[in-house]
Parts: sequence; structure tokens; C-alpha cells
Amino acid sequence: MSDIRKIKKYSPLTETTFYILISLLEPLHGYGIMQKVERLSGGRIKLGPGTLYGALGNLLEAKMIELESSEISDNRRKVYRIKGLGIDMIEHEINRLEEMLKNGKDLFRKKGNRDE
Amino acid sequence: MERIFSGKRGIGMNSTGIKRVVRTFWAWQEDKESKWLEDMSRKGWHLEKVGFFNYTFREGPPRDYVYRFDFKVIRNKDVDDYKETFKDSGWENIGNLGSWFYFRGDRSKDPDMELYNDNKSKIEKYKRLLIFLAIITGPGLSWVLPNLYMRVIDMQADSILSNPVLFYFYAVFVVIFTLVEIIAVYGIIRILMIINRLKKDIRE
Repeated sequence: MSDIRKIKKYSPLTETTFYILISLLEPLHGYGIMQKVERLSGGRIKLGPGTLYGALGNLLEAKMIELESSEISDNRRKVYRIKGLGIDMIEHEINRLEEMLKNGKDLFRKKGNRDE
Repeated sequence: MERIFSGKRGIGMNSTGIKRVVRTFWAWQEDKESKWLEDMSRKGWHLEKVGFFNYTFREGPPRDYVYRFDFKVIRNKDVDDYKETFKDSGWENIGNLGSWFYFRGDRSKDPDMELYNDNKSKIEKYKRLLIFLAIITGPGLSWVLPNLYMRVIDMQADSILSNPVLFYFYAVFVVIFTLVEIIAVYGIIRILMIINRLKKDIRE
């Protein structure tokens, strides 16, 4: 499958998966991801370890992330790192979210709701 | 369906109580099971070991614990990392029953801690369970069971089954096997209902 088709197949990512993916722009282990997502979302998203573990498995299978060679991490904790396809996925999702945000804002204003 | 095996038993100098309770919860009764375990902890009985149809508790100060269960078929080499990820986020692994992993967290540290924070990943958990149930019941249902009943129908021609004693054992086996399959099919239906309920939730 070509990368473009693969990206379209996985889009839209869930909010959780998107945050996990952008967190992995720097290599992190599981708990590092949880802390970073909570910080980025201002405490709004508290990743459950079950959700995190499932999403990491899916992202590994989709070849958007990979395991870092084990020298850096202690043996028990795996460290994850983003791959090229993952970066393309982020770009695709940012464009999609920008479109949603623009349409949402435009129509919301037109209707005469609270504006900024 | 609850029987307490051993009451208070002194261990060494401190009289720590340990009790074993025989009780059965099915895969679709997670809420009931966690509520029961949480009530036990509030009474000062904390889950120490899980076994098939029984639970071992250790007495201690009453605590507001939260119990949750994850279903995960996991390779041996990945188990450490899996448990470590849960431990880092405040979930202690108490044990597992096959692919069911039992976790405990401290509600006083985080009142709304959960293993899963969105519906999509919850659905994935129940789908894993569904696939597991289908694999273990499928062959029995489609092949073993029909063959067992065919032999009963053909009893006259079957030299083994025309022996009354052997037939008795055979009948008992067929009844037990049928019951197991019925429970499994009922389980599959209940899990499908859980998935359906989650799918109707408009949240992600």
C-alpha cells in the first residue's frame, strides 16, 4: 500500500492517538508519553495505560513508530520513536484539523454566536 | 454463591488475617466484580491473589482502592514492559487469570483514574475478548458438539455407548460440554452488547 493510501486509511486518528504521535516527536517510554500528553493538554487528557498500550501497539503495527534500540532505556521499559510515515500522518492530521477549525469558526460566527 | 474458606489465621507475631473467598464473576460482570473488590478494601480486606473462582484477601487498614481488569494476550517478553507502564501510572498488578490482568489503584491519589480513557480503545479491549471467546468455542460448537450428539442418536449402532456404564459417563460429559458452550455463547452475546453500547456513545 502506498503511504498516501495508508495515511488516508488511518485518518482520522483519535484525539488520544494524535497526542501520542506528536509526543513521540522525541523518543519516550510509556509513562513519559502519559506525562507529556497530560502537560500538553493542560491536564485535560489523562491517558489510561490500557488505552496507551493499545494505541502504541496499533501505531507499531501501522509502522508509524518504532522501538528504539535498548541501550538508552533500562531493560524493562521500552522506548518508542516516530518514523517517517508517522510524521506524514501528523502533517495530514494537522491539515484536517485546520479545516475543521476554520469551518467551525466561520459558521459559528456567521450564525451570530459568541465571537472572539 | 459465596463461601469463605478460612477465617482469621495468625501469622507469626502480627495477627494478619488472610481469607479465601470462593466466588464467581463472568467476563461480562466486570463492574460487579470491581465494586465487590472495592467494597472489600473499604472493609480492610485487600485482594492479594486471584485464582479460578476464588480470591485471596489480606487484612489491613481500610482503603479507598479502585480495581480494574485488562484483557490482553501478551507475549512473555513484553509482560514486564506492560506491567511497568501500568505501575508507572499508579496501577499495581495483583495477578492475572490467563489473559485477564488485575490492577489496583489508589482512589485517594486520583479520584477518576481509569485504564481506558476513550471508547475506541475500550471497544478494542472487548474485541480482543470476543476473538478469544470465538476461538475457544468455535470448534467445540461447530464440530465437537454435533459429533457428540450424533453418537448419542446412533447409540444402537455404537458398541461403546450400548454399555450402560460407559453411556452414563458419556452423557455426563456431553451435558457438561453443552453447558460450557452455552455459557460461552451467552458470554459472546453479552460482550457484543457491551460493544454495541459503547458504539452508540457519541464520544470518541
